[in-house]
Amino acid sequence: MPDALPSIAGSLCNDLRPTDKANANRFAAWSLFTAVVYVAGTYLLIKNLLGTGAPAVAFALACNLPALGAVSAYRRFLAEAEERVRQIHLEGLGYGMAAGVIFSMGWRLLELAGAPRLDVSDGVVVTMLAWALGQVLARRKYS
Amino acid sequence: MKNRLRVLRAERDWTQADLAERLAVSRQTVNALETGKYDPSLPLAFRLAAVFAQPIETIFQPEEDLGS
Repeated sequence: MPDALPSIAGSLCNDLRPTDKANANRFAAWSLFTAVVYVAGTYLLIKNLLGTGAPAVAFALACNLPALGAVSAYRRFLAEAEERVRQIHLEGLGYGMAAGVIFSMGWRLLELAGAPRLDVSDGVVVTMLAWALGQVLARRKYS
Repeated sequence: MKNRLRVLRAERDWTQADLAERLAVSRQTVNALETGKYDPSLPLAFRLAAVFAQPIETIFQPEEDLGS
């Protein structure tokens, strides 16, 4: 089966079927677009270029729309992926969910004990990193 | 779960890529199945049985024979 489709995610997607690689590329493209919109939106809001009030709130909400596209693309990837790939990604999601919940809840207790106060987005970073690490571990387990 | 996939594939002189194409999975999945690192779902096991024209229980056996 010839497979000349390049992958945005590089060697991490080399073992995917062409259909799965196309879906992974779609998810990666949406994720990149989401990141760009968040960065641009953050810049515009921090610089107060949109003022405050309803326009700024509407803009902030609109900045989340690309993320819905990324989620939709990932759901499609999972739904259409071959079963071993789906298993790898579901285990990765499990790692991310577990680490995110434990970190977010556990750090609240640490804050009460005197640890520095963290931003809510720090829990997102931990979740994303654990999601990626979980995929690597599951990939090694099933390869 | 033990399986005879590598033997059955070799008997037909198929490569892992050949079998992967017949099953609509990736070559890496066929390799993971053959090395026992991944146990297939029931639908994939039935597809394997159809491809090799053999009953599932002649392709897959539990690590320990539970019937004895």
